[in-house]
Amino acid sequence: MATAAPYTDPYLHTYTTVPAAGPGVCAVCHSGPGPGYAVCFSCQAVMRQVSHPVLNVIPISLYTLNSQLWHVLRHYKDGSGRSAELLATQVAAILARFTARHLPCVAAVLGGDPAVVTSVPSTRPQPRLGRHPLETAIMRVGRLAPLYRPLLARGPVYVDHNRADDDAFTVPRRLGGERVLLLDDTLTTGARLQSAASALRRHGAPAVAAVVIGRVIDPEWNGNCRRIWDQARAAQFTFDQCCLCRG
Amino acid sequence: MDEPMREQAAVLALVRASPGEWYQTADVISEAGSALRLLGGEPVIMPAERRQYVRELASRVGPADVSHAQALIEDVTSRDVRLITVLDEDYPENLKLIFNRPPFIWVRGQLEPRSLRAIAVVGTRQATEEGRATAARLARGLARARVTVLSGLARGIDTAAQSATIEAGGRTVAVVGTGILAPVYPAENGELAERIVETGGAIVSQFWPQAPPRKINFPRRNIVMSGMAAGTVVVEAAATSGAKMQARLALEHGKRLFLPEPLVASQEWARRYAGRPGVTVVSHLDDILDELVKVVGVPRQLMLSF
Repeated sequence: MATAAPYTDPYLHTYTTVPAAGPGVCAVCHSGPGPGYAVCFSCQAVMRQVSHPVLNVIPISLYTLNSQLWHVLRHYKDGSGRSAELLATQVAAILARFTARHLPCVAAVLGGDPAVVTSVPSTRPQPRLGRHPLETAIMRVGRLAPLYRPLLARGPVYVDHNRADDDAFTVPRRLGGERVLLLDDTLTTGARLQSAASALRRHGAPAVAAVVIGRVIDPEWNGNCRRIWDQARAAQFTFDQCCLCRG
Repeated sequence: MDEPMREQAAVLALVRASPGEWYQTADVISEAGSALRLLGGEPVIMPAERRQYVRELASRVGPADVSHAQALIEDVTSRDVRLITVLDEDYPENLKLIFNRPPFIWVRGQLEPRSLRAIAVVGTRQATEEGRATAARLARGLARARVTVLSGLARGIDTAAQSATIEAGGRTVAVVGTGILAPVYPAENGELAERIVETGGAIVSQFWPQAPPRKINFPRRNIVMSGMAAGTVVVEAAATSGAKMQARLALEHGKRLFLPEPLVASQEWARRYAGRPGVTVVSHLDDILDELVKVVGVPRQLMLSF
């Protein structure tokens, strides 16, 4: 088995440290809340639209628009060509390095090891053919592949950027007390992620934790976002710590 | 006009009208999969944060702009130059890896768009004898290993690297800071430019065909050179050099950066970079080739574990 480090070390400059939750850092998604708030504006907005929102969103990296990680997380899905293959390998390697170190951190917030790993399905108007590239990436990670089940399917209600809904996704079977690790590539408002998490809880999952590769951040949005971004850029990203175990 | 050419003309018209950085225009064209559809206002799947940009862009282009672009393409491509846009099959795979890729490149000579085996060798125009010798030695080694040597056709390190590549029977590509039809800059390298093309390499320009060597072109040119390579070797460069800027760009792109030992010994900026991930201090050509294998040799079925 190949290790992920050689495929990701040169990219460490393109990832950005996610701060631990606390004053000035959103308790849910780790971006910047408005002054005096514990939870950021977008998390507040979408979480109240579903019955069972997830309280633990664990981003691996922050990123801004027009940056290298932003490019990677969009174009690893392009399918054909060597460049898309390289980007897809990078995405798999990020997941591999994160899970190798931080699956215990995720288990701690779940109250036990995840029994199932699943991902948020595509909500593109025209679904792509074949397996979703994120699923392919997960199946390349030794520790995640055996646990992976495509639990979620698109439901009757359409989710948009700012609109989460309990019925955006359905789960075809009853989850008998299985703790779920929910994965997605990017988090912008959290509408899709919160919809998916709520569907899992409503179908019997006792606990859901969500890991996303990148949480978008706009440093101009507010003072906390600016401070989080500037502090993160001043330090070298490392897989040794995540936003749960960082002191 | 056939469909691919109409697409190319639409790409140029959209770039000419760009309200923002050209790479944002490259991005929305690539996302839409068609410049003509963007111009026609047809619905395309676009991330929310790009929709406003697309509306503004499309509103700035009129039909005359597309026919002007078409005339330009016909004129330039009648002079042994090819146009490759972000929509074309021949757009280099290495360039697709970077977020700030150019919407188009003009090419004189031959590209190998599918190949990832390219290394940029760059450095100061005020090169020392030792620096030129190092550049030539590395370039010869890369040429023998069938790795394309990219550089910028400037005086000093660039000239040493590209001349040595040709002399060793290798392939070199010059990514230039001027238009593809503008006089070669510097003029003394006109003959080198011709030899590059004759020996299976290419001259690549991301600018309008007649663009003079303006100062602001060179940082942008460095983005494209870093993008077209799997990694960059900075042979000799002071902290204020454009080559040092390419070192930073390479890291921003997640590309490999190679710093020869003498550079690390003599330059404070290189010492700061040397300990960072993705940076290799080079004492031997194999230090570069070993990293290149990791870049190009990723197996398709790979279980990533520890």
